[in-house]
Amino acid sequence: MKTTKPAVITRVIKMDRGKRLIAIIMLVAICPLLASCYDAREVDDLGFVIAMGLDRGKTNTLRMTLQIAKPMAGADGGGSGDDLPYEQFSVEAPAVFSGLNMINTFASKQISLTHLKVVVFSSELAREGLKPYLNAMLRGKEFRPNMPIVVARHTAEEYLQSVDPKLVTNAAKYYELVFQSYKYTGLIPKVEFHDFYLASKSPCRNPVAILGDAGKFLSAEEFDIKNSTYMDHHRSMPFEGDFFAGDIPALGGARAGNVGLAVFEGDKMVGELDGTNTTMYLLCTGDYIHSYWTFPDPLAEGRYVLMDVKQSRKPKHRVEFVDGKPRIDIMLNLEGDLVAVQSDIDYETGDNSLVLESAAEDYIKDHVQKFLDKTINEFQSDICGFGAYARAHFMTWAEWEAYNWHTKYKDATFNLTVNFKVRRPGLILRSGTSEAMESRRDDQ
Amino acid sequence: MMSIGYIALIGLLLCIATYTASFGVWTWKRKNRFGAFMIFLVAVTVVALPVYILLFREA
Amino acid sequence: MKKKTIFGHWEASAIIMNLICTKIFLNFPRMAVEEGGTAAWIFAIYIAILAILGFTVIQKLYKPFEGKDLLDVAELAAGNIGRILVGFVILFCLGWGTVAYMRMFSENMKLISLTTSPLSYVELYFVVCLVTGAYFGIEALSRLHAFVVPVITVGFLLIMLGAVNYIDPGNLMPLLGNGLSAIFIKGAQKVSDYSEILVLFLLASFLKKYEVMKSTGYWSLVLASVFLVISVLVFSTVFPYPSSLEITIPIFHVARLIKLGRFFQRVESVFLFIWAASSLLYITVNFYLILFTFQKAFRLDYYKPLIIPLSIIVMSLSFLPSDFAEVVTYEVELFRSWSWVPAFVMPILLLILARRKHRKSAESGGNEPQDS
Repeated sequence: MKTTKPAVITRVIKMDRGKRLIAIIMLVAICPLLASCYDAREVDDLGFVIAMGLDRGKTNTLRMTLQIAKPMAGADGGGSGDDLPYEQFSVEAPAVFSGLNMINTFASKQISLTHLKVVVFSSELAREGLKPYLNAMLRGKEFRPNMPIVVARHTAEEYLQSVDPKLVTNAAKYYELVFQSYKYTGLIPKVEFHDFYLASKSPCRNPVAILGDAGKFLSAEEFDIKNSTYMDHHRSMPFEGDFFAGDIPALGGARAGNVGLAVFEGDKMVGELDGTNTTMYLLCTGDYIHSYWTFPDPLAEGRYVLMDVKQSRKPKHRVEFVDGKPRIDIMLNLEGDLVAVQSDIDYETGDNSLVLESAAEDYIKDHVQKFLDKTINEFQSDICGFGAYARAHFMTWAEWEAYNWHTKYKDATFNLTVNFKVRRPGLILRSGTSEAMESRRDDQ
Repeated sequence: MMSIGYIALIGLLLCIATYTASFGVWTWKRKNRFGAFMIFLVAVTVVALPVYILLFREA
Repeated sequence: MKKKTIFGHWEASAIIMNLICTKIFLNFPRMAVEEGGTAAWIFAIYIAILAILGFTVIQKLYKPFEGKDLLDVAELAAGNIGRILVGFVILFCLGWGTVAYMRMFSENMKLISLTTSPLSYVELYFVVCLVTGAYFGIEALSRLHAFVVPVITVGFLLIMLGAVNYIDPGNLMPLLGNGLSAIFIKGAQKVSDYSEILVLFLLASFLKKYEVMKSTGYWSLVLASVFLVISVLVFSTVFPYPSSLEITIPIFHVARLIKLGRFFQRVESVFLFIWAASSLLYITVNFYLILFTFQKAFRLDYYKPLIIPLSIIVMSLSFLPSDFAEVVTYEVELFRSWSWVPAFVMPILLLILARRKHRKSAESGGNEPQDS
């Protein structure tokens, strides 16, 4: 019985010898490709670093702390409930990549920085200058430009050790979410490495970093407000932003806290600002989105009006030069939705609404002015980037460089305008007083 | 001492140069002297340049 | 009878556009910033205008030579010697483009993704493409360009759009950047960035009609200018001067920044694909034209026996520079400062000479030119 050969074989047999030889050589040459190329690496063979901390070392230049994600920690049912979702390694080394080399000698997997979510510097290192490390981070292709930069008020190692996420099992997701809180708290700045690096080299502005620290209170009995900045803001008690990282009287969640910002001049840290000043910074730069604000009730002493304040439009900036000194005009456009009115005063409509708006404008203007004065008098650092608006007055780069904005900023004056509008009253259209309150008032 | 890989590579280059030179000879026979000269130049370069880079430039 | 290859205006435009625009993925945006500072976009528009003006002059002179490429014109102008000399110049320009770009692409590929692979291994992939493309011929290459170049264009525009969150128009101030003389006087020689237009005068024999060549030239120059200006604008608004001078691969850095929510990240993988496609097409076409020029200049009957030897020579030459920085230096400071001479001046001189010769021979009873 005649068997039919497959069509491919028939074609090969019908080929002439030369073409057959070439076809066989090509097939043989393709086979080694199945072994994969030089750069093939299995995902399972890599240890992905999700956070890096850099401190001044004891036996060497740097102490490098790496948090390496545990692969099963993020999966449902993977790992036990008490285990942290990461493993922490520390090593003392002369530089970042030397430290990676050293950790690779005792880590079971090859360390990869491709999923690095945050870099934390200690404030000691930040005050000495971050240029050597920024350079490595820009040049190294594994560092992502979108990762936030944090300055730990004490050591980066302590800050990273205190990270114990409770609401997310995936440590990488924790870092991705926690530094987005500027969108709804306004208490940390919007900072990415790419922006930080460019600002550190810019003749128009200076960078900022997120201020972080381990929460210092381990029980409610330990709560105190002695490190709060409420007295600097002339308050009788602290508002939500009157703290630095680690000082908020709070318990629960990941112990590591982020409030405030670190002010830099070039690559060197020159100071810190609390949460309230950070909110003013976000307002001035236009990165503010929304958050809850506590305003003193203008018509009832000791009471507060809570509003969800949003930016209705990006701030308008203008820089003019008067006798060679910059005069900076800033217009902020904000709107608020009433969230709580602790007194019964009807702020939703009528004259009271205008009183509230005017009081809010004065309040914001006062705080923004104090923030701006701090940047001039205390830090002499243009962290809001007003220099970017000043350079439009110059025709060439040489002229702009010769002006030397960083030295002129300390002579700047500000002309601030705040427009605030109460837009929505929440679910209460008109506040009414209770009968008991009315009769008490009548009795009085 | 050259490695076996280098020897194989130079052998391959010599084969290619020989083939190219044969094309040069064919072109010469068709009375295109200058074209043949350029082809011979290519044949020489195809051996000389890689050998220089592999053996002498590294040193 | 051997079938003559002819392709149309779109295929040719795609080839020229890709040749000119491939440098967007290498160092053009940074080079523009080096020249113009914050006025890099003004510089980019200026050299585009110069290139279009140069082409306008050339295409007007080209009218009597419909269907003839630059080597034919050189032969008409100066006989065999002219053809051979012009052949050498074109071979040098195309050869430099192929060698330098192969080295730069390979080095950048090593930098970005194939870090542990040897350079020769990375270059081998390019060489395989060169050889394959040369064997298939210009018609296949032109058809490939016709459908791949739009894909590359869309990918590039998506990357530019994705970076819109990081664009700060204030980074274009001060308006005149490094000053008028740096932009308009010193910057004029950088019209060399459009020196790939020389390829159009080699493809003229495949385009047949003068009108097709003219429209191809204008379309490709205008579109290429638009994309070059867009790349410079986006780069200089995202990365302020002078920090932008530090960036090795500008568009790669822009692509790395793109982060739309938590899902759309690491878009540089898309960039890698379009960049590899663009660079492979660039080198392949360049290499084919080297073979074409070699064959035509030296009156050879075939070019196919030279594919493998020349590809080995190209690969070997690409190993001559000792490091990446050396290649970039030669490319930016030497080649891109002087390649406007063979690209614009040489064709103009040849065309003027060829026209005069033909006018003389026409007056003395020789062949009439097709169109005066």
